[in-house]
Amino acid sequence: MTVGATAVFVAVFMYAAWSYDEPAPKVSPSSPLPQPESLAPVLTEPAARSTAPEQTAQPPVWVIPFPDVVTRAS
Amino acid sequence: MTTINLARSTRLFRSMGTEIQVVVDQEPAPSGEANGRLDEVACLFRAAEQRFSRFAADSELSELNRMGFLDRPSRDLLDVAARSIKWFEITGGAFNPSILSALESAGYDVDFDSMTGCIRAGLPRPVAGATCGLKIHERDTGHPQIELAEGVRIDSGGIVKGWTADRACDLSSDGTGMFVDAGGDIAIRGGKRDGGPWMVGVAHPDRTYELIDVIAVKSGGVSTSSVRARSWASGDGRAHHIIDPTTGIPTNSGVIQATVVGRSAESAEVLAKSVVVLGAEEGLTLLDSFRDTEGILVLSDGDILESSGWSNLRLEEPRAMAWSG
Repeated sequence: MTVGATAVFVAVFMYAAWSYDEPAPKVSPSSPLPQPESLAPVLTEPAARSTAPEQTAQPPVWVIPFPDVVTRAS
Repeated sequence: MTTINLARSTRLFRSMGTEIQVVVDQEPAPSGEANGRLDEVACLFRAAEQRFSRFAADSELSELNRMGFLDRPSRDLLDVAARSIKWFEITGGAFNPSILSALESAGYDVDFDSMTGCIRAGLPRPVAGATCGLKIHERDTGHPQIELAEGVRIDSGGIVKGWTADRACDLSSDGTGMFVDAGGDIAIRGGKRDGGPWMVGVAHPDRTYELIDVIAVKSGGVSTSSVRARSWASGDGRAHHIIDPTTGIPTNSGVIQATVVGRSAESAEVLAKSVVVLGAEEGLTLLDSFRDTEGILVLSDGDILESSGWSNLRLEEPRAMAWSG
């Protein structure tokens, strides 16, 4: 490789490095970003459920003594 | 996971002027296959109705009332007569089978279904039934005879529904749970398949769809008597079918309904009527003199009274059933 060719290669490489830019974010600036406070419940609820088993148990069903037969004067 | 099978064999039919309901806690018979036990119960009621109806001229009871004497009565009539005498003595005369003339004088002289919408004219009051007027003896014939006192005629309406319901339940000798409801006179045997008791609601005398209580009964009898039932317009206002034997007219004791739980439907029926006749104080005293017998009374002012052990018939607390999922 000649000195000239090497100089051209270096120049192209440096130009490419100089012209590279960060890719644009997928969320456009027009869409509001999620705020920290709106994320808080999502982050804390699973932990609360896993440490409080009584919240996952269903309440008992009370069986009312419905009569099999009714005594009625006739 | 527990499964609850609500399938039961049932039979509904009309007999003795009321609706009869028979429930056996077993799987219903396959279609087309006769359910012998229910057929037997229906036959038993029809036979009893033919024998004890005071409206059928050819019934054995009508023959006794007509003749005043019956030689070689059927075993069933003899049994009912003997029990009626016993209950007359036990209740101090509050239960008295010899009130038929008084009942007819009050206006109940035809089948009740024929009385709807009619005003029954009151007739002269008969002599009060201070004695039973019914005797069983053998004399020198060697076989039993039934004899009525002069002018006495018998009404079996205060005992024979419960008596028949008891016999219907006794047809079941294998311990299968069942009940027979003969128009509010209920015989219960055996409990349910799950081992639990039958739940019996007590109807309010004036509010058709309201219960005054629900109790648990595994075996025995439950009966309700009320002056609201079989009542009719008469010349003096309203009359009803529960005659006070001491006056010969429909009772006005202040108790408008009595429900009694006892060892049998027969005892419950007889005692419920007796309590309505006697009134609250004497009625509860009578119930307290029997073991395994309790009652709940509705008074004319709306108050409800219970015998000392009635509350024990209620379930102690509702049963809780947790979700299995």
